[in-house]
Amino acid sequence: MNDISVLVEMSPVRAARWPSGVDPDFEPVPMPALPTRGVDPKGAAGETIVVRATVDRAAVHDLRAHRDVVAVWSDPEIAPVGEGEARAPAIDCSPEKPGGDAADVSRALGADRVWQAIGHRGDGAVIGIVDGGIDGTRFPVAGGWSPDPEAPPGSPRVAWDGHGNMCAFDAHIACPAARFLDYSIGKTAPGAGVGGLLSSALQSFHRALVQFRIDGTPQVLSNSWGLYQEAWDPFPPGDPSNYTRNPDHVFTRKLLELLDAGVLVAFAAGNCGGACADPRCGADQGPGRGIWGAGGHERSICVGAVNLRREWIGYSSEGPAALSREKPDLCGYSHFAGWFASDTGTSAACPVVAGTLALLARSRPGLAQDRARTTLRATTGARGWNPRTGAGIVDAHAAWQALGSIL
Amino acid sequence: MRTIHLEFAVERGGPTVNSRLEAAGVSVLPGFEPVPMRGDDARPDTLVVTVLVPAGVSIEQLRAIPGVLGVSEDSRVGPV
Repeated sequence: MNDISVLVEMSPVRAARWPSGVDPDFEPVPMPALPTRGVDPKGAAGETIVVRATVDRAAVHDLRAHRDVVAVWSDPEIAPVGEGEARAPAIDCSPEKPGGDAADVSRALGADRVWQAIGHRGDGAVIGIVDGGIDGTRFPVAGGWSPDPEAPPGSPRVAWDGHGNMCAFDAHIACPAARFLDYSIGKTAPGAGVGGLLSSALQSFHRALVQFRIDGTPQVLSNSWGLYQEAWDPFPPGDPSNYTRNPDHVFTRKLLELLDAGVLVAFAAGNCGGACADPRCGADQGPGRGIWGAGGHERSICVGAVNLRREWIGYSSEGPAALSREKPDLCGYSHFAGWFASDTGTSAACPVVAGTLALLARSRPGLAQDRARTTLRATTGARGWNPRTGAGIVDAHAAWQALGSIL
Repeated sequence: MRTIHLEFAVERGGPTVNSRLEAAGVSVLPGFEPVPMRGDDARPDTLVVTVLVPAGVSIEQLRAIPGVLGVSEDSRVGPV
């Protein structure tokens, strides 16, 4: 016997004519006639009743053949939706509270397992950090470019309050053997008046491409910078000079040249997520209002942020991006004790992923951007994509394993 | 002063980019190399030059420089 519970829809007949197995304590449920139902060979085109029955699975065919039975429907087991499942996922809006340290991030990435498998920690890796500058007395800086001749690459005179040092520290978490190229876009060119201009990023990408063609480095460029508001772009959408929504802007085209040459490029998604956006975002916060320009290009690796409890950080910019729908691609870790008491922002998450990319590039030669992006997305262990955490959280070891069967 | 990207068609012979910029009253931002841009089926190879532009020079004047294919004003960016 393989008894199952079923719902039996039948003509409204007396109980004496019910098939065997019908539960007499289940009050018949009257059902209205279905106007769309065709001619019923049993003459039951009008109202019906539904009763519950317990029958052997093998007897369902006989039940359907009963002269008063119109249809037999499944009666699956159902369960209450648990409290934990119903509760909204936690959101972290407390950047001042680190949820662990760099060692915890390394373990969460599975970087230690990759090191063990390959026998080194990213030897030969060179990561370009496009940011405010890296202090060469604290990190191994092999070159780069600066708009300020008074503060060349590696100078302890950094801009953006040491933000670039944080990026270097966080890139070292997965790839401790990496050296750095310091592209100090936060510094100020003589005559420009201010630092932090897209022209410096364009110049950095150009210099990185020239360097890559000479010696194959940097293998990775990490970009923890962006526009907080669409209005930071002096040209509005639709203008041929526009950057935020224009895939033909010179910077975005230069990005594609780097990708085609073989450089891996990651961008921070930005800090304009709707739960607790950075005040600099102004009204540009929430879904579709935080990922502008090249970082949101379909081929870029766009990185959002979660904490070590795997909770979405509520200011991490939400997709879609201005240039493509499924951004961010995935998340890296932020809100941990690193270079600062708490390394924060998608700025921290991006170099965590960039370091992972560098480790992968040194252990899987020939790794190119598109394969890297799809593999990182496919190996998070999560299902699907959503506008907050993308395809899930970066898993260095899973990505390394997946690439081993591809390259 | 503000910084602007000018995209030039790559030409052989004729006046240099620098002389055209000088005639328009603008100058290359010190330390910034001209950036070669790869062309494709829709556009030729080009050269992007970042220039310092005095307040009195308009976007339209820059677009009128011989050989200029595109003008884009610099965007401010910040650490995230």
